Amino acid sequence: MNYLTAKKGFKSWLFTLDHKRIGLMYLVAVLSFFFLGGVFALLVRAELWTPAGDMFTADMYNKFFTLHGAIMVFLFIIPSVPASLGNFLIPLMIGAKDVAFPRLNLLSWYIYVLGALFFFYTLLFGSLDTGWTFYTPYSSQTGTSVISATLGAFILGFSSILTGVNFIVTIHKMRAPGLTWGRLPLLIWALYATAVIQVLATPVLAITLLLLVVERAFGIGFFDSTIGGDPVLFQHFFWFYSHPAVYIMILPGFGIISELITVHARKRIFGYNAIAASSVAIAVIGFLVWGHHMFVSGQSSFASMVFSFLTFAVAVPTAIKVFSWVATLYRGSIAFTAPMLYALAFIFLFSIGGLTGIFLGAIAVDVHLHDTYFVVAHFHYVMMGGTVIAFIGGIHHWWPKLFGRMYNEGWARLGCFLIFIGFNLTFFSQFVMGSRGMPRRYHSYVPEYAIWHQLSTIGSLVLGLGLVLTLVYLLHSLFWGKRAPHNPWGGESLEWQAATPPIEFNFTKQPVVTSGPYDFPEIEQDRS
Amino acid sequence: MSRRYPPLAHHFLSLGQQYSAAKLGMWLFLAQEVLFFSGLFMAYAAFRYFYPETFLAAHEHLNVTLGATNTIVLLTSSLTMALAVRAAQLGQNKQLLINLALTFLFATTFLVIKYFEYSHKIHLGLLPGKFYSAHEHIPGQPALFFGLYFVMTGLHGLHVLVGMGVIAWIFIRGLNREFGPEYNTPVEIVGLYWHLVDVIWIFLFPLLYLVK
Amino acid sequence: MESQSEHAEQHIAPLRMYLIIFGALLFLTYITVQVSVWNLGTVGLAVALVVAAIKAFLVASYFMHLKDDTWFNIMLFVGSIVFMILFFGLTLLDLGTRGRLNIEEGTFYYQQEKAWSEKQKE
Repeated sequence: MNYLTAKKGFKSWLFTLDHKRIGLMYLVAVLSFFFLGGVFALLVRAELWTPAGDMFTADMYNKFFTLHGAIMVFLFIIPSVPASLGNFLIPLMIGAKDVAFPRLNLLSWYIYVLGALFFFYTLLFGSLDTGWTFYTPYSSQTGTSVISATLGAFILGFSSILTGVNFIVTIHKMRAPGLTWGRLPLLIWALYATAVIQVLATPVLAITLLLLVVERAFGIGFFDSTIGGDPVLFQHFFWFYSHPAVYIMILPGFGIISELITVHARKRIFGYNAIAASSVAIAVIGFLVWGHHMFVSGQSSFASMVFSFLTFAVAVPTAIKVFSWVATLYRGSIAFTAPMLYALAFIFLFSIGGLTGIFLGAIAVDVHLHDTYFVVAHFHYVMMGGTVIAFIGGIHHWWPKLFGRMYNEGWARLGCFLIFIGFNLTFFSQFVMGSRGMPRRYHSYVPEYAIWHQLSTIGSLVLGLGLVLTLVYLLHSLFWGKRAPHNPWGGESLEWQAATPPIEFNFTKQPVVTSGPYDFPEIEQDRS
Repeated sequence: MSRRYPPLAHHFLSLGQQYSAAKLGMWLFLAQEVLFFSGLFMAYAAFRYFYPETFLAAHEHLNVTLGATNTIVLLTSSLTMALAVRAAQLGQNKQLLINLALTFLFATTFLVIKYFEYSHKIHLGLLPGKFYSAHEHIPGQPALFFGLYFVMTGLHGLHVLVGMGVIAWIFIRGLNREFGPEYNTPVEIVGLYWHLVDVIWIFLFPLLYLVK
Repeated sequence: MESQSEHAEQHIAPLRMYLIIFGALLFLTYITVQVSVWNLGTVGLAVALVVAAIKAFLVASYFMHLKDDTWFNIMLFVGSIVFMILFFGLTLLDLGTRGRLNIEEGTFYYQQEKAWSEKQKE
């Protein structure tokens, strides 16, 4: 009798208070939106096969890239790791029966669904063409369904905030006896830092979107220069949230990588304290750099200089993590399982993404690269090459625990390979054409960029194939996969002590922790 | 069917854990409320910086007496709310109910006074944004000032309304004698929310009504 | 382990404390209104904000019992205010320094300022 079979029927899922079931419902939802967002991406890439804007009208194209962005950001990536894996794993990893506020957890899921419905309404009635960033004055004036979309994002924001509240309280108050802060798995530290950002940054997005709604509905005019408002003020408000939001996106991915590398190289993490502290440092410093999105917006040069300096600062804790992971791998007993392959891919892809972020943080460089495909490539390397790769790796790593089944390792490696090749083909060419001046959000372009766009489109098809393949063999394993052993990877954190899959209240008796999460018993730690 | 009292949720190990979890949860929610309103205070700072003459002139149309009265009303409601929590801690159910009712009453008074202020402004055409149609000349960008005024006080008023709702809910539970020295967490949590609503008004009042 | 054996710590303050704090709040409200009548400009704004902050401090510490609460809850509330101030500070840094850098002349911010203030002296 496990959490999947404990209670039966639709209502037992829709009214569940079990964090594991809620996590699964989120997983299904975010993956569905991932694929929907991906469809819009493929439409964009299809148009860009040829220089002429011949497949869709410019208006249609604007809607496709906007919906791609908005769906991916608000419905997929922000909730992705915390709401699905986080919900499932946090109580298990800390030895608790559930999160602190199970009913609030279910409410968060329903709020998410409500926000998604607003987006569906937008899709069907009027669509959206402002770009996912909703910049004024265009967004105050365009005829598309801005209000329903922004209200949708507003609602989704509250789902995120309440999840953040739940996680912080859970981690503070419900750890098992003996589970000190210094013994927490690094995924928990990462989710904790993420939750702090969710609680502090998301409300600013909420007020921003609310102000946009009243601007459209009542002409309030805070962002309307004809009556003295300031459109750049919108950008300050928007990016005050949206920059920390990218840390909401990546920090959980960092946490996953710490887990994957330690378990699949069977080695204690190098620099536990540094990685834990750097998660908190990134969360804090991440609030101070938002102006680097606004270097060419009319922001003062002085403020731009300050933001640029702070942007370089936030790279330091991030780099500390990358060095620590590499040091962990050194002399580890590396198994090239699918999770490890995804972790290695992450380190490579995220390093590229992160470094190009530093290039963009230099004002003089950004002036040339702003609004080009270089930026598009940068953020896809960190968000997709980073978060999505880590997310898929994590799904593989915890798949046995979630479902009690093993996926097919051969297909998994093929899937990883296709995704890796496809991803690089899609986005590396975008660095090249971006640095050569190809602007973003354009549906037609001059012929000299054609080859790069075509490589990118081919890449997107390979990437899409890899992702679909991954989905197929994972689903296949649910019905025909080998039954998973209790602890297939030999992990030492508490979730592996629970049954596979876990029982409804996680543990038959309260676990007591006496060692760290990466204290693999048989490895002699080299003390020289 | 006997319900265990005091109520302890299945996933908590002790009442103390449940209580401190609830308080931390509410403080986190209050932190996000602070950041939520901060956007409006930021807009206020921006536009006051850009158009000081507008703020100086426009605020004359706000009634300081009514504003100050509302401030006192909310402060008093904060007192009665705190006393309600105290009554619950001491097991004085009647005092709890009286203080909750008074808090609700003061909240209603606040909204009534706001209603009068709003209708006065509507009458004079001192409306936000594109609805601004006042006859009297106010220099700079008066539509912006009144946009700020209505959005800030409107959002605050919405929070007062929600507060009234939760106070009423706690009142009903108090009628059921659910609270006492061993268990009064919901009263305290609602109290925390209500005090924050008061704190926000403590800043709104001087910034909107007392610009000099 | 705090999660296991924490008892519901409830300091029950005397009624007198609440009434004194309430009195202080009323008094401070009176001060705020009086100062505004005196028409002090920027100083008036500063005074108004300081008084409001004191009132907020009193409500938070005594009515919301923060002074008897855990260190973390106190830091949390203070932290949210700190982040709010960071938001204000950096945004106002932009709003307040627009147009300061003269692109055509290619001078830096402080040189421009110096040149401008020298011009003022003439």
